[in-house]
Amino acid sequence: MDPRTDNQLMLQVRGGDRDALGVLFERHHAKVHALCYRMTNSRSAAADLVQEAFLRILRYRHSYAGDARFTTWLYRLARNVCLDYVRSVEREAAGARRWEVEARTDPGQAATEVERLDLLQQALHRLPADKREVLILSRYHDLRYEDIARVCGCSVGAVKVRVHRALNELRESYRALERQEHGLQARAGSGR
Amino acid sequence: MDCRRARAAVADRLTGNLPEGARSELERHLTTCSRCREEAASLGATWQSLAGLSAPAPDQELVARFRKRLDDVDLGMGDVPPSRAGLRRITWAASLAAVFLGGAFAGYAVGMSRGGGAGGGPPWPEFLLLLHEPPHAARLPAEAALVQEYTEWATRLARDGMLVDAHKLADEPAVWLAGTKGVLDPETAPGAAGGDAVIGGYFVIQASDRERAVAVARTSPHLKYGGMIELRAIER
Repeated sequence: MDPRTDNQLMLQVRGGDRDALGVLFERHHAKVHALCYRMTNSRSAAADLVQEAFLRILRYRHSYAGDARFTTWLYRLARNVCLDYVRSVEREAAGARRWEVEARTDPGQAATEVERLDLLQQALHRLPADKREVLILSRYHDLRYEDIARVCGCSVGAVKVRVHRALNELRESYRALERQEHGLQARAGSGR
Repeated sequence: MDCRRARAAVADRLTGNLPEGARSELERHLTTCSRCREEAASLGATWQSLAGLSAPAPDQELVARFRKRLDDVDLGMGDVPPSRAGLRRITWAASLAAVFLGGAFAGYAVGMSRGGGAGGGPPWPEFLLLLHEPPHAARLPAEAALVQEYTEWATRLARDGMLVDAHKLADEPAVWLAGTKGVLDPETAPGAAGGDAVIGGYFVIQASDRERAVAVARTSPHLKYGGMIELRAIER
């Protein structure tokens, strides 16, 4: 275990020390990978994006001020990387998701826990990116509203409103998917 | 607490962002309002179910792949060589420390500067010289010679009654603030990609006029080693 703090390592990265960035990667890549995965719903994309986020550290190392937690700064870069990706593939992804929902028919079978989580995953991914990110940062990364505001570059009040709306929309979206799923199963059952 | 506030507070409670006082208020409201209680239970269930969505662990090869990519990264284009910080440290820490500790600044500048220049008469205008670090490390002489060169220049200014103030800025990252929250996107901060001009320190000088101030600034060894000087008149 490297005894240097994140801040010490980052100051070394500022000086061009690639090895220090390697240590930071080892230390934090799993968390950033999880963030990227949840934002994109794609394992292969997450693997690329987590690397891109850390490479951006190198590129933007001179803007690291050391006045906030390193992870907050890192999440902000990772979030930007994810948003770039999400915007670029949003249309295709939406089409693919619709196809997935329509193609999944398992007539007569009660919704299993796996299916329920699958619907929830889809519902989460249907949220607009700005709502999805605040929910993910709060639920899976234990960031308080103040930190989320720093990551997203908005006010604490905006985070508060976004989290509230995101949770509501997630619930409604999940319910809609559930109804859609039951409708498909019912139609498939009556057609047998 | 009314229903509207209670529903807004439910999400804050779930995310652990509801202050203790408001939490008690919410609890009291929920004991008396069945609709809000149902709403809270429903949102709570959604929040809890999110815990079941696990993210896959990253590929074990990822660290090795990233290290390999790091090796291939070119630090040259648009980046600041690592020696840049070293240059700043050498020139500023040593030279200004020498000027201050040697008493040149205290002996000449403080006593003479604000009285209107070396020759008396009406006060001279003051100018701020911001010393930007070189975008690329320059070939430097030995440290002792460099210190002497900067020190002699600063001392000369002091003796001529032109030096009003001078400080080296600490070798630490700048804090950039913007917007009402005082937060600046790391990717848009000035100099984010390394193309900035980092200010290593400043001088305040007084001179009879702008031309004279520019002429004095031109004699600074800072220019010789690739640095830039931004000269601005101070408005009084």
